[in-house]
Formats: sequence, C-alpha cells, structure tokens
Amino acid sequence: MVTTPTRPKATGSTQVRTVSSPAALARARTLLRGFWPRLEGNGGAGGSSYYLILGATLALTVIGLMMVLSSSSVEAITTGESSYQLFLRQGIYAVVGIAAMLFLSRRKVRFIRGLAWPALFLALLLLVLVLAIGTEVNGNKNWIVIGPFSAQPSEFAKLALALWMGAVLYRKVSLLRRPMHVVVPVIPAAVIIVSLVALGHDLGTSVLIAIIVGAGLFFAGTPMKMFGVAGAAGVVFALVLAVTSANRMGRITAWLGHGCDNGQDVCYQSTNGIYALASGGWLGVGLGQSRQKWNWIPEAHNDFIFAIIGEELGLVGTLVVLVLFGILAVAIFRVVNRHQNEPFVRIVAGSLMIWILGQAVVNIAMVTGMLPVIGVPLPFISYGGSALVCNLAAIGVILSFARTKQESDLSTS
Amino acid sequence: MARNSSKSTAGSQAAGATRRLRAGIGIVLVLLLVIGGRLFLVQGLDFGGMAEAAVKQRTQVQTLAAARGEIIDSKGNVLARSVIRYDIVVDQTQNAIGEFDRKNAATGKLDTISRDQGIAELAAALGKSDEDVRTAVTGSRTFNYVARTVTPDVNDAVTKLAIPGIYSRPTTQRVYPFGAVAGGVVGFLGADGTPLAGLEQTMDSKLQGKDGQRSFQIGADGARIPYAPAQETPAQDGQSVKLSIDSDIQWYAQQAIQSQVDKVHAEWGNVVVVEVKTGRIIAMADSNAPDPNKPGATAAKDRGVRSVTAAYEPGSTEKMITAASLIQTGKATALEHVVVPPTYTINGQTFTDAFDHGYENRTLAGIVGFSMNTGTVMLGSRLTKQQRYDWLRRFGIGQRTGIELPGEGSGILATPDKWDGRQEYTVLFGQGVAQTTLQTAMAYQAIANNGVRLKPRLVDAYVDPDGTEHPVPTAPGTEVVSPKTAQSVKDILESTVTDGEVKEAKIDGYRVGAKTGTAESPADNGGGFDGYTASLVGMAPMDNPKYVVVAVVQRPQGSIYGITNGPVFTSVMSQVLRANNVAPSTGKPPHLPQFFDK
Repeated sequence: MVTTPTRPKATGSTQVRTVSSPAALARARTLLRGFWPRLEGNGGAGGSSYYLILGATLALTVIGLMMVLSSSSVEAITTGESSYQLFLRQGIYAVVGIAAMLFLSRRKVRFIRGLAWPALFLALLLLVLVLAIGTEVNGNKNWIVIGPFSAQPSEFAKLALALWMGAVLYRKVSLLRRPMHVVVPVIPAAVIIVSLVALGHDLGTSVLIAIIVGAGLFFAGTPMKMFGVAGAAGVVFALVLAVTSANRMGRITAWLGHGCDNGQDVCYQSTNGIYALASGGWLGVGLGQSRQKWNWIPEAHNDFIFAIIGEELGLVGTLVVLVLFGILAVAIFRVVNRHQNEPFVRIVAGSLMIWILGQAVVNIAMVTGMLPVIGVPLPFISYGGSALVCNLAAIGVILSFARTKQESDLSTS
Repeated sequence: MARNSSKSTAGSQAAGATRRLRAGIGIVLVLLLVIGGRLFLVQGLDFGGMAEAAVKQRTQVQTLAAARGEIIDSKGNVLARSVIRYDIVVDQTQNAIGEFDRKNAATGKLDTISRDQGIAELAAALGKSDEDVRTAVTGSRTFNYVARTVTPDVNDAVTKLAIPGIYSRPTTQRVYPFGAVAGGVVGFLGADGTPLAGLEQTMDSKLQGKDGQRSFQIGADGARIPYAPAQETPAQDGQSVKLSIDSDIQWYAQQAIQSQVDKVHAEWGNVVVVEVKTGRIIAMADSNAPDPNKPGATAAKDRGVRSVTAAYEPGSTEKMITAASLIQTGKATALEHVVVPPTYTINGQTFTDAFDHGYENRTLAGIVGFSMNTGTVMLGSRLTKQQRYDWLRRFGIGQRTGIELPGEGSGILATPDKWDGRQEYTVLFGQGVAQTTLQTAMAYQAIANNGVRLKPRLVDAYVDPDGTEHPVPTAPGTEVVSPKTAQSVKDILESTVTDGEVKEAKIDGYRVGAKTGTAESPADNGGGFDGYTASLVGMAPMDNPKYVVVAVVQRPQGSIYGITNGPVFTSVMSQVLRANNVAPSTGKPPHLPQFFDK
C-alpha cells in the first residue's frame, strides 16, 4: 500500500507541540497508520466483501419491508385500502430486485459493460416518455403508469448512467487531462439526463444524478480544477431550479427556519419527522407502535420512513441502519480497491457507492432536519418499486465485480 | 493525482486512484458519522423537547361534563333536571367544498351531494331557513354554532346527513318539568349554564359536581391511536337537592295567592307554609311566579322569591310578639285587665283603633283579639324601649333567617336610640319596623313550637348520584319564650279566631289560631304611605300546632276594610292539613274572655 506523503509531517508537528503524552500519541499514530489498511482489508479474502455487501443489502431490504408494512398500514386503512397492500407490492418488487441482483452478480464484467450503451438509450427513451405521458405525484413528474404498474425511470437512469460512464471513461482514463475528453460525451449525456429529470420538477433526483456523474468523473481521474468549474455550474443550476419553484423555495426557507409560523404545511413534514425521531428516544416505542405514522407524517412509508424507524426502534434502530450503510460502503470500497487498475470497475462501483450512500445520507440528513425536504427516498428501505429494483440491480453489478476479482487478477498478471 | 503526462507510470495512476477512492469513502464515512451524531442529539438527548412537543400535538383533551344534580321536592317530584341535548356546530373551512360523497344506506353506493343540497337538507332537519343555515356554515371560521340544544332525534337526523364540517357536541339543557310551580324557589340558569337565581344559584356547589377529563392521542385525521397512553378522570356528577317543598301544596298555594292578588288587584302577594316542629318550608308561593324554562317571560322584579326578599311593615301581626314579651317578662297575663279609652295618648303621641269605641274593659286576649292599638300601646309601654327591641330581635325580626335562597332581606329594625317619639310605640303593633313574610312565619313558628324558634330550611337532603341520601339535620332552635308563655299566646291566638275578630280563619274540624295584620305601606319614593299591606298568619291544629301559614297581599286596591286573606289562609291550611293526614283537633278551645267584668 502506498502511504500518503503528508502524514509524517502532520504527526511530526503535533509531536512538537504536545509533549505531555508521547505514548498516547504514538498509539494514535499507529492506529491512524493502520486505519486504511484495515478499512481496505487484506486483499486476499475477496469473499468477505461479497458477503458483507450481500448481507448488508438483504438486511436493509428486510428492514425496509418491515418498516414499509408498519408505516403504511395506518394510512392505507385511512384511505380505505388493505393495510398489507403496499407491503405486498414492495415484497414483490423485492423479489424481482433480488432476482435481478443475483442474475447480474453471476454475469461477467464484459457482459455488464455490454449493457452500458443499451441501458443509456433505454433510460433516455423512458425519460422522454415520462415527459410525454408521465404522471405527476406531489409536484414531481417522474412516474410512468401502465395499468396497475408504475415505474420511475429516473431511478433506472441513475444505474444506466453509472454503467455508461464506466464504459465510456475507462477507455479515456489517460486522456482525461484534456477537457474535451471529459466534456464529450459524458457531460452532454449527463446534462441531457439531468435536464430531463429536472423538467419533471424532481430537484432531488437531479442533484443526485449530478452527484453520480461527478463521482464517475472523480473516480475516473478527471483533474480537480475541472470539478471546480463543474461544481460552480452545478450550484448555479441548482439555485436556478430552486428559485424557479415556489414549492422548492418554500421547502428551503422552511429548512432555514423561516416561514414555519405562517406556512404550516411547509415545515409540517420536517417537524413531524423530528417529532417521530425524538419520540423514539434510545430504544423506541416498539415495532409497529409509532404514533406519528397516524397520518402525522406525509409519505411516512416513503421519504420519511427513517423517521418511523427512529420512532419505533429508537436510536439503536437508526444506528443499526446507519452501520449497515457504513458496512455496505466499506465493503464496496474494498471491492473497488482491489480493482484499482480496472477503470471500468472503479468508475462504475465508485459511482454506484456514491449513489446509494449519497442518497442515504441526503435522505437521513433531510429527515433529521440537516437538509431541506427534497424528495429523495432511502435506498432499500423506502417504499418504491423502481428504486428498490434499481438499487438491488446496482448491488448485483457490484457483487459481480466482487466475484470476478480472482479471474480479473489472473487475467492481468 | 495523475499530474504528470507519463502514460506508462501505472503506479502513479494507481496512487491517484487510491487517493480518490479513499477521499470518496472518507467523505461517506464522515457524513455517516455526522448523521450518527445528529441522531444522538435528536433521539438520545432531545434537547428541543421534541418528544414532548409531539405528545402535546397528538394529545386530545376532552372534558367529561359532570351531570348537574336534580332538584326534587319532598315527594320525589323532579323540579329541575338536566337533559342531553346537542349543539350543531360547523367547521366552515371544511364545509367549503362544492360537493361531497355520501354512502346511500339503501343502495350501498356513494351518492354525490352538492353543497347546496347539503345545506337544504340540514336546514330541513333543523327546521331553519336555508338562508340562516347558509350564513352559519359559510366563512373561514373553524368553529361556529349552527343550532343549539337540539334534541337527540334532530341530532340523529343531522348526523345521518354526513355533511363535511358539520359536527355535533353533546351538551345539557336544564329543564323544569313543573314550570312555574316553585319556579322562583328553584331558580334558573343562564344560557351559558351560569346559575342566576334561586336554589340553582345557592346550591350550585352541590349541584354542579366536578367535570372529569379524558386525554388520549390522535392521528392527524382525528382517529384515536389505540396503543398510545390515555388517561381518564371520570366526572363526578353533582348531588341532587331534595327540598322540603311539597309541589302539590306549592301549586295550591300559588293558585290561591294568585287568584287573591288578581281579585283585589294587589301589587303582589305571597304565602309561606312552615312545618312547625322542623322549620321545613312546605310551600313558598309568590304571585306572578317565574317559569324557569323561560325566565325572560317574567318581569325581573317577579323572578325572585318575595317571601324572603321583600320586607314590609307587618302591622298588627306584631301584637303577638308584644303579648308574648309581656307574658314572658311577667308584666301582664293573657287575662290582664285593661280599661281601654277611645284614644290613648302617651308622651304626646295619640293612638286610636281601627274601630270606634268608648271605654272598654279589655283583657290582653281581647286587645289582641280585636287588634286594638290603644290597648297594645298601654300594655306594651310597660316594657322598656330596650326590651321592646330585644324581644323583636329574639323573635327573629331584623335578622336574616339563613334560608337557602339568594337575596334574603333582613328587614329593618332600627336600634332603640334611633327610634323617634312615635316609633317607640308603633313597633309594638308592627309599624316602624319592616320584615319579610318568612320572618313573620318564623316568629309564629316559635310560638307554635312551644317557644322554640327554628331556622327555616328548604333543603331536606342531598342525594348522591348513587341514591345515597344525606339528610340535613334540623339545627337546634333557640328558646324564645317558655312553653307556658307559648301556650298562653297560643290560647290568645285561638281565642282571636273563636271569640275575636279573625273569624274568617276558622277551619271546620281543626282548632286554629290566627292574627291579621293591616299596615300602611311606605311609598317606594319615600314620601309617606301609599297603600296597605294585608296579612293573615295562623297555625293549626291548636291542640298540637303542626303548620304555620302566612298569606300576604301588597297594596290591594279598594277599601282595605273589605279585604280579607281569610279564604287564602283557610284553603291553603286545609289543604296542608288534609294532604298530611293531620287528625282533626281534639280538646276544647280555651275561649279566653275578650272583656272582663268589673
């Protein structure tokens, strides 16, 4: 492993300043030095990452199913539906998603790479279809409804974009210092996809897709100064999106602590989410016993499901979810780390990890009041078939990378 | 970062990739840690008291109204009770929709009803005009009354309409099944339930009970959350108040005094019936009695109970007190001989009688029997001024009786040092002193009860909601005169009926003792006198007096000499005696001589 060059300097200077406990410092230094190797694993046991990813994913999916049942049952009864309806639907999607995950995990990297371009075109087609015949839900037009089924193409677009970026950029890794190679064709495609989603008024998903694109470019090795430019452009773009919608401005001002007094609806969801979390306390009020799910929290089974987890299972429950996401992140990181020399794997797995973890962080930050309420679901847990299937398919891709490690090592050596 | 242009340096490229990967995972892990910290703050520590705020938001507190106790008469008839009624209220914001769906009970399908149709149906159910209902339900208020205190039937009809925003709230209405019978005594409540008059007011603390409270948690749509903690403090219903009033006799007395007042065109009249041995008020009747169901229909001045609020100069009924004090102090006997001149002058004050006479050889009994002011002043002046005052006080004049009614008057009895030259004598025959009908009744009750004056009362018992009765004990009385004196006075009163001038008080089968009083009533404007107060107070049966009845009319029109309360007294007293199965009298009347022979 290569150690970062700055570390000895930093520790050296601290040593000069604090003379009181050199022994403790030395211990801390040893701990720090051991941090990355430990996080990255010993590189030999590829199987452990595979099972960590699979285990964490399945655990999160099962927690999600359980919480979808708990959080949707009351509202379902209120609207005259069966309390199991959403749970059963989500269960079916979970089965479909797990099937997709297992299928992809058995495929070779070459197969997955071959999916990149068709996936992108399919995603573009679907996004255009959404704008043409899509259905609007809560101000966001990003659903396609066909009979009893509804799909959210923007979820699929995230997966497709990650795959496609990997397929395009891995050929250009050595050319990425030249802006033209960064810009074409990744940026146009990304801009088109982000714009299509943004036209459906889904700011949250647009921002996430932008983050995924950024992650792909970042892991491909694009020069940092280009990120500065892109970042600035992204901020401007997001601001324009926010300012042009009263709904979005309302959510943002509510988050900043203004407008809570007069416009009750704006911070209603956020406040009730915090209420739920606080009500849970350390150990929670007990599974199925949330009070806030009694219509106090709109979208309790969806964007705000984490609040119900917090209320029913307490801090223990929310930290377990957080740790599971952490395990997932570290395990994916280990997989990627072993494929450093394979840009496709690095770029795809890296952006998928940023997608899933980024979305989780944004969702939880939103529920805990650290971010404005933007409609981003919690991966694996929130209700939503398209999201669940795509999340699981993404994990399938990563599992395939984890499985093919040995072969790829053999092929490069 | 892969800064150098050398393509072949795979190591440097790998180093850049590693750094970026580490940066990526580092950022992710740091963000997860930050979120974990935030969760610790929000859930573990809850600095903002959000859990409490959440409970507060969900908690619904309902008042469980305590049922107001009933007011019942001595026979168990309900004079006042609370019945369940409903207020129909509206949340105007929820009503402001064009149309709504309603399940049709017959077809089982959803019908779509327009708001206009809903309003029309609601108006029909409430028996109001469309316009009134539309005005009530239109606007932006979340609470407004559409109709108040509707019956359960109407409420059912309204509920079945299932109109959005229309709710009903249970409430109570006070009803008085006997209407004006004892209406003034029972009193009434204001529209907001505040007791405003009568026993409703004075007994409020017993009647009202204690409201309970129920708190539970609800969902945002109002549904109760079954597993959330709930608390309930049950309401403690009020006690019922059982009166000594007998509503039959009360009704009878009211009829009697009302017809008397109408007949003589009096300003008002009243009748009080007291049970001698206990001080229980059997009836307390006023003319123009209010109906508590609609107190507004009665003039404000008639809504109270005049028997306890109105003080007037009693006149000759007070001669009984003068006679009793003379006998008790030994300054005279019932048969004391007095030669009464046609007029009597003392200290420059001249007194005459209601009838012309020469010098007469009178006994004290005869003086009382023929209500002679001259003889009363002659004998009464044997008492010092202080004694006259003290004896009036002993019989309860000038003091509130403490009856359980609001606004009781104490009457007017000035202290002797404030009496003018004539007043010191007129108090002996009931002028220059004012008292209520109840005070008169209780002074006679003392004589009837062998000299022991009791505290009058209207309340026999308090009855718990479970039916347990807590009787109100009779307060110990005060002995005003000895039993012997009381017997002498009773003999005088009976002789007044048998041998004196109050023959109109006779009742067949019962021995009666009575005294009339006719007083000039001071003008309300304070200038002189502008009418008369005619009263008759009596007791029966004289062998063992059980009841005292007082009948009074104020300012009757026409000649005062033609007016008698005899029929009122005898009819009420007969009714009381009969209704209570009092055995006809035994023994012989005393027939005290009204004159003496030289």
